[in-house]
Amino acid sequence: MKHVPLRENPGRRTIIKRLLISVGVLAVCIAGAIWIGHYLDPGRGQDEPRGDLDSRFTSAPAVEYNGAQYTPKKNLTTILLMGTDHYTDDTSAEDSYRNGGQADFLVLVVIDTQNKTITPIQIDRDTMARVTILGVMGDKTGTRNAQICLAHGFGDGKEQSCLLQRDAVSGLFFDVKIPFYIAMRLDGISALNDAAGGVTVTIKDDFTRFDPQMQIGSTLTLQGKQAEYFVRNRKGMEVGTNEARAKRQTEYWDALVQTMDAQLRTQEDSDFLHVFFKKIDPYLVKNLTSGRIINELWKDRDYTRESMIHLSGEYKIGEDGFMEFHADEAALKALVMRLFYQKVG
Amino acid sequence: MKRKWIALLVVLVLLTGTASALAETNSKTTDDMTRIVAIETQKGKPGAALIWIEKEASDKAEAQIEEVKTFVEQKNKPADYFPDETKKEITALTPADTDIAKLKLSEVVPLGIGEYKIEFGMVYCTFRFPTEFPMDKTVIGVVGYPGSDGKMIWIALETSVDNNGDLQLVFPIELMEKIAHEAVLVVLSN
Repeated sequence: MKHVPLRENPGRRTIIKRLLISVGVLAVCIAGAIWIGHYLDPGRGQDEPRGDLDSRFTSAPAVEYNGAQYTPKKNLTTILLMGTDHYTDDTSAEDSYRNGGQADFLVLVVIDTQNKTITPIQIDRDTMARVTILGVMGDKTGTRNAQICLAHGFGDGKEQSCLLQRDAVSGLFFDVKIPFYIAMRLDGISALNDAAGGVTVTIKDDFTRFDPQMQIGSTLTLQGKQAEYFVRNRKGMEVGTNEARAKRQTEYWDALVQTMDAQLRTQEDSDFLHVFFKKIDPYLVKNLTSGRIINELWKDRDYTRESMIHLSGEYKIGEDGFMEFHADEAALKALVMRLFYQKVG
Repeated sequence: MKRKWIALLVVLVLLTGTASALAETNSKTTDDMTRIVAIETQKGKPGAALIWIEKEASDKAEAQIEEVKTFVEQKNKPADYFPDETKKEITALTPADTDIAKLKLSEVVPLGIGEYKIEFGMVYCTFRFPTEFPMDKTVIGVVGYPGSDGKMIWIALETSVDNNGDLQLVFPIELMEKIAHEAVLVVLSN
């Protein structure tokens, strides 16, 4: 019979010691893995919303509309796009909680993966909505009914301002969830335009005082600063209202989407999107990674692009002399129900 | 017939006026959310504005504003920024149960001051700030202006909140006689 030497029974102290060492090694490994993860992809660890697991297992609360029950659609991705009136090197937001810059361009993009549609909704900067107010020391001091673009003016001009703007838009749309936002600084317009290879538009206003090439009636592939002149300027135009500028922004949007679509449908892979986003990324503030945006665009390339929706309502000059747009509440509710809710049963 | 033409002309003028107003309306910014809504005097009618919010603060007012903000940023209680005499005024002008140490710094703006005559009496000024103050909130305005020695003199003002969430501040005669440019208004609230 072969003699098998018995191992010495370790004492209680030794077991505890070994356990502690194992736990320590495990903790170091986990910390190392997290650190390496952050090192390799610093943007990844930031607060990209991952979805609410609870909502997958609990039924969404039904709402009543026109005598029928509705529940929120589940297959939606909603992204708020913002164009702000500050340049990237503008540091005024650092000195105050009220210099974040106004969001002069606002589009809520609703991607419906069930119906395979992408619906953009343009929101006029002067749309009256509840806006969160920050005091001079940056603390929330309440809300005020004001032009919706002002929400971005509060905060740091970056993430905080974007979140305040997102909350204001969500409030306007009867508290629909808007998990994602992408904000672009003014100088990003030219970068975006050039990254897309130029955007072709028909010039309907006289922009020659900015650029002699931009004559009424000409069809031009905008390059560099021309794009900024086209979407930003309104004063001195034949019709100098924000409403007229918003229409011009829609024209530019449509042409840009057309240009991008042409590439999305002809390219074999999404490599060109990586190049595109690398060029515009320095001008963006966003809470989702470029990779996620690229995947979404590539995945949705065959979806139906709906025309830009403009809210119906009424323009009037407020008692302070500034323009106000009062959205028609019933029409807005109908739009929200159509895009964000589905009938039960 | 003549009346008809006049009516038509009036409508045309109104329409043209509205159209041009719509076209050239400035885009509102966060700076435009702070303004004076109304000024009234106890007696008489001043020909020009008596109090306004400066778009660009003078160097002295700007430095003063920064000093107040920095003091609060350093975790000090805003009311402690003011001399004891002013703190007594704040206590006297706020409800009896107010702990002035708990008041927060809500607003601070540079003021411009016009030509005041004693016959105007007290000046009642309604300010609209970005913050819409609830009527049950304790709010107190404190005005500072440089004295003859250059040091700021701080005076607490009788302050009330109106239905619109605006602040009505009463500028007494003694203050209006002395206050000049480079004045600063600090608003504390609970």
